[in-house]
Amino acid sequence: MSSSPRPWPQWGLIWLVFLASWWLIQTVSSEAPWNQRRERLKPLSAKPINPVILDLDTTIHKDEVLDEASWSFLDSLDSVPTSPLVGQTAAWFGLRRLFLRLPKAGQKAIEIYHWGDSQIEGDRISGELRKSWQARWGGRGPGWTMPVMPAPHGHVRASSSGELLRQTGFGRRRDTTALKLPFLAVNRIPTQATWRVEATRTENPPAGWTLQEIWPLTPPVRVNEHDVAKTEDTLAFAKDTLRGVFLGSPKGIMVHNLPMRGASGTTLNRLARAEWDWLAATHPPAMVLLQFGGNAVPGMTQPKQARWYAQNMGRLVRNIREHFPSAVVVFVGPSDMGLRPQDYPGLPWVIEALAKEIPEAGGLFWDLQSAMGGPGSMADWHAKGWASSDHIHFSKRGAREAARRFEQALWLAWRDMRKSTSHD
Amino acid sequence: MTEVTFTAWPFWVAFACVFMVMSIAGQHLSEPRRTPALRKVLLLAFSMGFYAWVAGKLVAILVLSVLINHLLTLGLTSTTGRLRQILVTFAVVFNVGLLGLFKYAYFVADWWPNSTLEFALQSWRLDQWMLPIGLSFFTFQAISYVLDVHRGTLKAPTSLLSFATYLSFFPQLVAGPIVRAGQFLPQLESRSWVPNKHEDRHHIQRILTGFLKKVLLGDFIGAWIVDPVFADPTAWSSVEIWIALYGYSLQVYADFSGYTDMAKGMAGLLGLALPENFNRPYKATSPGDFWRRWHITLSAWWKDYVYIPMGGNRRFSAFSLGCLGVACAAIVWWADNLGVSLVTSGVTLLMMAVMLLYPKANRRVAHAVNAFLIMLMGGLWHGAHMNFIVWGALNGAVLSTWIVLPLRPKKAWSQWLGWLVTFHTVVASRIWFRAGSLVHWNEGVGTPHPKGAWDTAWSIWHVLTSSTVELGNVHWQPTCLAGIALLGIGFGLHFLPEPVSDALQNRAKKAPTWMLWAGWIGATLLSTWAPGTQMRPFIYWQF
Repeated sequence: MSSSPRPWPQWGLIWLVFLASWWLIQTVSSEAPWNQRRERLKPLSAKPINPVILDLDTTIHKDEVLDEASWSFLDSLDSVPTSPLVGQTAAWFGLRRLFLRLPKAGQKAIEIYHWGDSQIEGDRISGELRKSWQARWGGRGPGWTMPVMPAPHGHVRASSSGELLRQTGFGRRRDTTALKLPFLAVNRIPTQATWRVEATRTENPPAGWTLQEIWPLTPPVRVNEHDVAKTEDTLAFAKDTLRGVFLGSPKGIMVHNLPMRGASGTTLNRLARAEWDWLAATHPPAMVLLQFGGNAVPGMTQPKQARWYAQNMGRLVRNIREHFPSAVVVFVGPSDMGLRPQDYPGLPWVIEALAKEIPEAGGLFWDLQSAMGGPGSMADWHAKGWASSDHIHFSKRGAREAARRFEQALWLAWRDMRKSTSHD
Repeated sequence: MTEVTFTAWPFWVAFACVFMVMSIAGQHLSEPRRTPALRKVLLLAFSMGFYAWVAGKLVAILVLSVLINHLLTLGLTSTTGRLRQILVTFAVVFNVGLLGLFKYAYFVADWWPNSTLEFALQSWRLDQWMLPIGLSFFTFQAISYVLDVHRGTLKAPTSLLSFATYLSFFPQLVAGPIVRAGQFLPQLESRSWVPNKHEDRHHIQRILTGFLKKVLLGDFIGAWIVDPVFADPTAWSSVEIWIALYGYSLQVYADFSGYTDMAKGMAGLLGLALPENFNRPYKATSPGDFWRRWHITLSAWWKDYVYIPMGGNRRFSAFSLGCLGVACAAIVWWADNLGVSLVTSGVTLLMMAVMLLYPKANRRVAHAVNAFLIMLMGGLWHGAHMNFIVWGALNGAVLSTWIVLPLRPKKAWSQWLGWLVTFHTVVASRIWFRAGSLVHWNEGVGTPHPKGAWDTAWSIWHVLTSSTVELGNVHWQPTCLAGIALLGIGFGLHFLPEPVSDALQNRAKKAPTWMLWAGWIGATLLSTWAPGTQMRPFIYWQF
């Protein structure tokens, strides 16, 4: 009888038991045990809020009273469309600390680092913030710059002769030996070269720089301080490797434009601890702006990739906060991109994931897409001449507008914080 | 497209219904009423229903293909001479054209700006056309059927019902194996509709094996160590990228051979046998050996219907020379780079010089060139994207080099070298293959391939070639470690010596029934827990 087929009722029973048990498994245990455990542990994996931030409260009120007059402009802010900053308590404390330090920038330099992708190339967005804040609270110069940059710096005009090579620690042709702060790139001079740098004509803030630091990879650093601001200089280099040239002032506001073309920001997590220590010892940031995500979007094919990316960025925010406990980290999300939703299906996933992850990591998140006018706003920006024809990058006017909206978000946040303090 | 895969519960509910109908009918109908025609009608109805379920309105393409090809083969048998030649040419052009329209029109229009095709792209919205699932597979089966009838390999055209059942048989419809009509059609005439007790156990085991391969090795490895790397390649070190590439090589094998096992098992439960499609491919000791072990039915198809007619390993034909000319022109035009043009021209001239100066080498050069062209076409068959062309070209280049080089295949060192080169060529070429492949359902809407596939592949290539090996930079996350453990198990089983694996398989065949049930429960648990399995179709469903 073994050659005959199995009776159909037996088959019916087999299928019934099989399908029912499968259905039961799906209903009872839809999530893998290891995923459930990870979800439960997730809040604990975040770094604890650094105690340095917690003991600020006593100094806050004292300083605030002293500098009350310097904030009078907040009462008559222009009506600029924007979107609010999103964050948790620790981040708001950091922002508050920054605002309280701003009026005292004349006593000690306040440095703002703006790392971003090609959207910030050519001193876009950072330049506008620098112009506005240096005019208000003092400070000179473009901050960190390099002889060879991916795009000309808006604050200075430069020309060079001799052999100057740029090597980056990120992107397709990355070289891990070039993974150096502040640019995550270096300029190599194989023999010798000269670099002529000239400040572009701006009267407010005043042009030029009074402090010049040339940072080769191997010390010593060459420092030149001037009583009268220099607006042009020619620097000669022998065979060397540069991590950057600092053109600024010993006091006031410094806003550093640090573009990383094609990067999604994840490389910043690969920096050696010594690099962060170097930055802390030389030019520590009071505020870090991270503007990435645009380069991660095109590769996204599923929402969980966006979550991975956002978790990576969350790790970066924690990393920065660990090294610079008193600095506030603001993550600027990607701009609106493309003309149709299907052009970049990953864009809403990335924004949503970042908006969730960055505040959890202790940073503030600013949704640039919302500030632009929400999904689909890129078409309007392009029509106004605020965006280039690739429907991704801003034009100079667009970058100015984005910077204005970002600044407005900061002022509104500070105004609200001040109001709540006065009510107390 | 509907999100249904062989690892989804709804599919198995449907299959259980199909099987029960066949089982009850097969056991209760009397011998005269249990006709092959009734069986074909039932199988055809289930198959068309399945295709309508997964492909929606695009089932019309399958119906069109069935009708046209059947009419053409009827025409072939009733004509001779020139008219017969015209008919067979038309049949091939129709099938290739169908494939071209849905699979390649957008690609050509995309790469050929300012052309009439671009106009078509704009006016007909070619970018929004969806590729009917399994089109590449059933079109190739249709071509083989027409050519077999034309050549006389298949004695006479069968009925429309038989042909439609053959072309649309649901277990192998969407991703093969590519079955020849000569193997399949005689089985449909059997009056035994379901297997006996001994055989059904074997088929269930086969389905279970495929299920476990797909979910445990394919999906878990994919989600844990492959997908994160390909989502943002520059965020990972070269070590992690190599792990991901080895992982993807195992994933694609486990996924595709798992699918084949399930297809064979299901067909077996319906009383039909499908050919084997894999034979431990990563054990291959030469590139040629690999392609005889990997996707065997497709390799055999290329060999029988394209490679041999174009000259095979003996000579050049007008077709192969034409293809070579087109390939060279395309490379020069596309690269738009003097260096590439010079290298392409140089290689072509060198080849011609060798053939002129050493006529004895003609055969070997023709063999190498024809093999290269087949690999290039094979790449294009997988997808209309530069990534697949690069993948095909890389594998073709290594295959051709192996043909040209006078190695001694029987020497142990030659076999080891052959294995090393073959395995790592396959692994490295997966960079372009994986970057150009869709991973999830719905990605194919409006985007035939993942956005940034080209850049993703080259980013990986640059990380691998420009960065040093830094173990300190590896993100040793628990899922990554678990993925590596699975990788070890998977490759360990794959590379087991044949006597050991045969012994294991024999022991598995005698496994008690409770073990089978435990396997099923384990498989269903894994399919429920696997990251995104419900949304993750078999990799080859997209081709």
